[in-house]
Amino acid sequence: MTDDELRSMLRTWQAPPAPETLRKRVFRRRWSPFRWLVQGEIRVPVPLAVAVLCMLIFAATRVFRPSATSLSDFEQVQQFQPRIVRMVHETR
Amino acid sequence: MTTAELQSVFEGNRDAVFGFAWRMTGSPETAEDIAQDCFLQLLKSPGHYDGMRGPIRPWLLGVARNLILKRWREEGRWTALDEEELAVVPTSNDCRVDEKVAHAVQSLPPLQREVLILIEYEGLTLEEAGRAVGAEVGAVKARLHRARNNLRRVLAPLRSVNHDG
Repeated sequence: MTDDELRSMLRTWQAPPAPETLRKRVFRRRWSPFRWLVQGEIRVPVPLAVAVLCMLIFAATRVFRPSATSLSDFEQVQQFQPRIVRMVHETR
Repeated sequence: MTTAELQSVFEGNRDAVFGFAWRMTGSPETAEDIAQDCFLQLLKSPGHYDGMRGPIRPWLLGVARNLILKRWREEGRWTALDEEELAVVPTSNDCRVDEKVAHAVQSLPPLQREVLILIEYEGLTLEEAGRAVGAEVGAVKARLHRARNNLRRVLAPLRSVNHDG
Protein backbone atom coordinates (compact mmCIF):
# COMPACT_ATOMS: atom_id res chain seq x y z
CA MET A 1 0.00 0.00 0.00
CA THR A 2 1.51 3.34 -1.02
CA ASP A 3 1.58 6.44 1.17
CA ASP A 4 -1.12 8.03 -0.98
CA GLU A 5 -3.38 5.01 -0.71
CA LEU A 6 -2.92 4.92 3.04
CA ARG A 7 -3.56 8.65 3.24
CA SER A 8 -6.76 8.47 1.24
CA MET A 9 -7.96 5.60 3.44
CA LEU A 10 -7.17 7.60 6.58
CA ARG A 11 -9.16 10.52 5.17
CA THR A 12 -12.35 8.46 5.32
CA TRP A 13 -12.34 8.93 9.10
CA GLN A 14 -13.58 12.45 9.74
CA ALA A 15 -13.74 14.13 13.14
CA PRO A 16 -16.95 15.94 14.07
CA PRO A 17 -16.75 19.73 14.48
CA ALA A 18 -16.32 21.08 18.00
CA PRO A 19 -19.71 21.30 19.76
CA GLU A 20 -21.24 24.73 20.35
CA THR A 21 -21.25 24.08 24.09
CA LEU A 22 -17.46 24.35 24.00
CA ARG A 23 -17.70 28.10 23.27
CA LYS A 24 -19.98 28.63 26.28
CA ARG A 25 -17.66 26.66 28.50
CA VAL A 26 -14.57 28.64 27.46
CA PHE A 27 -16.15 32.09 27.43
CA ARG A 28 -18.32 31.97 30.49
CA ARG A 29 -17.95 35.05 32.64
CA ARG A 30 -14.65 35.54 34.33
CA TRP A 31 -14.22 35.23 38.06
CA SER A 32 -15.19 38.28 40.11
CA PRO A 33 -14.74 38.60 43.89
CA PHE A 34 -18.11 40.34 44.27
CA ARG A 35 -19.98 37.64 42.36
CA TRP A 36 -18.10 35.04 44.35
CA LEU A 37 -19.26 36.61 47.61
CA VAL A 38 -22.87 36.25 46.45
CA GLN A 39 -22.83 33.05 44.45
CA GLY A 40 -19.58 31.36 45.42
CA GLU A 41 -19.18 27.94 46.91
CA ILE A 42 -16.39 26.49 49.00
CA ARG A 43 -15.55 22.82 48.92
CA VAL A 44 -14.33 21.64 52.29
CA PRO A 45 -13.00 18.13 53.04
CA VAL A 46 -15.40 16.25 55.33
CA PRO A 47 -12.82 15.53 58.12
CA LEU A 48 -11.98 19.24 58.28
CA ALA A 49 -15.66 20.20 58.34
CA VAL A 50 -16.37 17.71 61.14
CA ALA A 51 -13.38 18.98 63.16
CA VAL A 52 -14.48 22.61 62.79
CA LEU A 53 -18.06 21.69 63.71
CA CYS A 54 -16.89 19.87 66.85
CA MET A 55 -14.79 22.89 67.87
CA LEU A 56 -17.75 25.24 67.35
CA ILE A 57 -20.05 23.02 69.43
CA PHE A 58 -17.44 22.79 72.19
CA ALA A 59 -16.95 26.58 72.19
CA ALA A 60 -20.70 27.17 72.26
CA THR A 61 -21.21 24.88 75.25
CA ARG A 62 -18.44 26.70 77.10
CA VAL A 63 -19.91 30.14 76.41
CA PHE A 64 -23.54 29.35 77.17
CA ARG A 65 -23.05 27.04 80.19
CA PRO A 66 -24.61 28.53 83.39
CA SER A 67 -21.84 29.61 85.72
CA ALA A 68 -21.48 27.82 89.09
CA THR A 69 -22.36 29.74 92.29
CA SER A 70 -19.31 31.38 93.75
CA LEU A 71 -18.77 33.04 97.13
CA SER A 72 -15.75 34.95 96.00
CA ASP A 73 -17.64 38.29 96.13
CA PHE A 74 -19.15 37.63 99.54
CA GLU A 75 -18.43 40.33 102.13
CA GLN A 76 -18.97 40.02 105.81
CA VAL A 77 -21.45 42.41 107.45
CA GLN A 78 -19.55 45.11 109.26
CA GLN A 79 -22.26 46.22 111.72
CA PHE A 80 -24.85 43.69 112.64
CA GLN A 81 -28.21 45.37 113.52
CA PRO A 82 -30.92 42.79 113.80
CA ARG A 83 -34.49 44.09 113.90
CA ILE A 84 -37.20 41.84 115.14
CA VAL A 85 -40.60 42.39 113.67
CA ARG A 86 -43.38 40.69 115.45
CA MET A 87 -46.89 40.19 114.28
CA VAL A 88 -49.48 42.63 115.67
CA HIS A 89 -51.63 40.13 117.61
CA GLU A 90 -48.58 38.88 119.45
CA THR A 91 -47.78 42.40 120.84
CA ARG A 92 -51.23 42.88 122.23
CA MET B 1 -4.36 37.91 26.33
CA THR B 2 -7.67 39.71 25.95
CA THR B 3 -10.98 37.94 25.49
CA ALA B 4 -11.14 39.23 21.89
CA GLU B 5 -7.73 37.75 21.09
CA LEU B 6 -8.67 34.46 22.70
CA GLN B 7 -11.90 34.47 20.71
CA SER B 8 -9.92 34.80 17.48
CA VAL B 9 -7.57 31.96 18.45
CA PHE B 10 -10.55 29.89 19.56
CA GLU B 11 -12.41 30.32 16.26
CA GLY B 12 -9.35 29.38 14.24
CA ASN B 13 -8.35 26.32 16.24
CA ARG B 14 -11.35 24.88 18.09
CA ASP B 15 -12.08 22.15 15.53
CA ALA B 16 -8.41 21.15 15.33
CA VAL B 17 -8.00 20.91 19.11
CA PHE B 18 -11.32 19.14 19.60
CA GLY B 19 -10.67 16.82 16.64
CA PHE B 20 -7.23 15.89 17.92
CA ALA B 21 -8.55 15.13 21.41
CA TRP B 22 -11.50 13.21 19.94
CA ARG B 23 -9.26 11.04 17.77
CA MET B 24 -6.84 10.44 20.64
CA THR B 25 -9.45 9.54 23.26
CA GLY B 26 -12.40 8.33 21.18
CA SER B 27 -14.75 10.17 23.53
CA PRO B 28 -16.59 13.39 22.59
CA GLU B 29 -17.11 14.28 26.26
CA THR B 30 -13.45 13.87 27.14
CA ALA B 31 -12.44 15.72 23.98
CA GLU B 32 -14.64 18.67 24.96
CA ASP B 33 -13.16 18.73 28.47
CA ILE B 34 -9.65 18.64 27.05
CA ALA B 35 -10.38 21.40 24.49
CA GLN B 36 -11.91 23.59 27.19
CA ASP B 37 -8.94 23.15 29.52
CA CYS B 38 -6.59 23.81 26.64
CA PHE B 39 -8.13 27.21 25.76
CA LEU B 40 -8.50 28.16 29.42
CA GLN B 41 -4.82 27.43 29.93
CA LEU B 42 -4.05 29.86 27.14
CA LEU B 43 -6.29 32.46 28.79
CA LYS B 44 -4.70 32.00 32.22
CA SER B 45 -1.08 31.73 31.11
CA PRO B 46 -0.69 33.42 27.72
CA GLY B 47 3.00 33.97 28.46
CA HIS B 48 3.65 30.26 28.05
CA TYR B 49 3.10 30.62 24.31
CA ASP B 50 6.08 32.15 22.57
CA GLY B 51 4.99 33.57 19.22
CA MET B 52 8.60 33.61 18.02
CA ARG B 53 8.68 29.81 18.05
CA GLY B 54 5.98 29.36 15.42
CA PRO B 55 2.21 29.36 14.96
CA ILE B 56 -0.11 28.80 17.87
CA ARG B 57 -1.83 25.65 16.60
CA PRO B 58 1.07 23.25 17.32
CA TRP B 59 1.39 24.82 20.78
CA LEU B 60 -2.32 24.32 21.48
CA LEU B 61 -2.19 20.74 20.22
CA GLY B 62 0.83 20.16 22.46
CA VAL B 63 -1.13 21.48 25.46
CA ALA B 64 -4.05 19.22 24.54
CA ARG B 65 -1.68 16.29 24.20
CA ASN B 66 -0.21 16.89 27.66
CA LEU B 67 -3.69 17.18 29.17
CA ILE B 68 -4.68 13.86 27.59
CA LEU B 69 -1.55 12.11 28.89
CA LYS B 70 -2.13 13.63 32.34
CA ARG B 71 -5.67 12.28 32.32
CA TRP B 72 -4.50 8.84 31.23
CA ARG B 73 -1.87 8.86 33.96
CA GLU B 74 -4.54 9.66 36.55
CA GLU B 75 -6.71 6.86 35.17
CA GLY B 76 -3.81 4.42 35.31
CA ARG B 77 -3.57 4.07 31.52
CA TRP B 78 -0.02 5.39 31.33
CA THR B 79 1.88 2.13 30.77
CA ALA B 80 3.12 0.85 27.43
CA LEU B 81 2.85 4.04 25.45
CA ASP B 82 5.16 3.07 22.63
CA GLU B 83 5.03 -0.63 21.95
CA GLU B 84 6.30 -1.61 18.56
CA GLU B 85 3.47 -3.97 17.84
CA LEU B 86 -0.08 -3.05 17.18
CA ALA B 87 -2.65 -5.15 19.00
CA VAL B 88 -5.83 -4.69 16.99
CA VAL B 89 -8.96 -6.44 18.05
CA PRO B 90 -10.65 -7.56 14.82
CA THR B 91 -13.73 -5.56 13.90
CA SER B 92 -16.91 -6.97 12.54
CA ASN B 93 -17.16 -7.33 8.79
CA ASP B 94 -20.28 -5.18 8.92
CA CYS B 95 -18.25 -2.14 9.98
CA ARG B 96 -17.83 0.67 7.46
CA VAL B 97 -14.37 1.57 6.15
CA ASP B 98 -14.17 4.73 8.26
CA GLU B 99 -15.05 2.75 11.39
CA LYS B 100 -12.32 0.23 10.62
CA VAL B 101 -9.82 3.04 10.02
CA ALA B 102 -10.85 4.68 13.31
CA HIS B 103 -10.45 1.39 15.11
CA ALA B 104 -7.02 0.80 13.60
CA VAL B 105 -5.75 4.31 14.41
CA GLN B 106 -7.08 4.15 17.95
CA SER B 107 -5.37 0.80 18.43
CA LEU B 108 -1.96 2.34 17.73
CA PRO B 109 0.31 2.83 20.76
CA PRO B 110 -0.31 6.39 22.01
CA LEU B 111 3.07 7.84 21.00
CA GLN B 112 2.61 6.56 17.45
CA ARG B 113 -1.04 7.58 17.39
CA GLU B 114 -0.44 11.18 18.45
CA VAL B 115 2.26 11.69 15.83
CA LEU B 116 0.13 10.15 13.09
CA ILE B 117 -2.90 12.26 14.01
CA LEU B 118 -0.88 15.47 14.28
CA ILE B 119 0.72 14.97 10.88
CA GLU B 120 -1.91 13.15 8.81
CA TYR B 121 -5.06 14.76 10.20
CA GLU B 122 -3.97 18.12 11.62
CA GLY B 123 -1.43 18.85 8.90
CA LEU B 124 1.53 19.64 11.16
CA THR B 125 5.06 19.41 9.84
CA LEU B 126 7.58 17.04 11.43
CA GLU B 127 9.16 19.98 13.30
CA GLU B 128 5.81 21.26 14.56
CA ALA B 129 4.77 17.77 15.65
CA GLY B 130 8.11 17.44 17.42
CA ARG B 131 7.48 20.66 19.34
CA ALA B 132 3.93 19.55 20.18
CA VAL B 133 4.99 16.20 21.63
CA GLY B 134 8.34 17.37 23.01
CA ALA B 135 10.47 15.05 20.87
CA GLU B 136 13.26 15.36 18.34
CA VAL B 137 12.37 15.32 14.65
CA GLY B 138 14.16 11.99 14.26
CA ALA B 139 12.03 10.39 16.96
CA VAL B 140 8.86 11.80 15.40
CA LYS B 141 9.88 10.45 12.00
CA ALA B 142 10.53 6.99 13.47
CA ARG B 143 7.19 6.91 15.29
CA LEU B 144 5.36 8.03 12.17
CA HIS B 145 7.12 5.35 10.13
CA ARG B 146 6.14 2.66 12.63
CA ALA B 147 2.56 3.95 12.78
CA ARG B 148 2.21 3.88 8.99
CA ASN B 149 3.67 0.39 8.78
CA ASN B 150 1.29 -0.85 11.46
CA LEU B 151 -1.67 0.71 9.69
CA ARG B 152 -0.62 -0.66 6.30
CA ARG B 153 -0.56 -4.13 7.77
CA VAL B 154 -3.94 -3.78 9.47
CA LEU B 155 -5.72 -1.92 6.69
CA ALA B 156 -4.37 -3.95 3.77
CA PRO B 157 -7.49 -6.17 3.58
CA LEU B 158 -9.63 -3.05 3.16
CA ARG B 159 -7.66 -2.06 0.10
CA SER B 160 -8.78 -5.15 -1.82
CA VAL B 161 -12.36 -4.56 -0.63
CA ASN B 162 -12.17 -0.98 -1.90
CA HIS B 163 -10.72 -2.07 -5.17
CA ASP B 164 -13.30 -4.84 -5.59
CA GLY B 165 -16.15 -2.58 -4.56
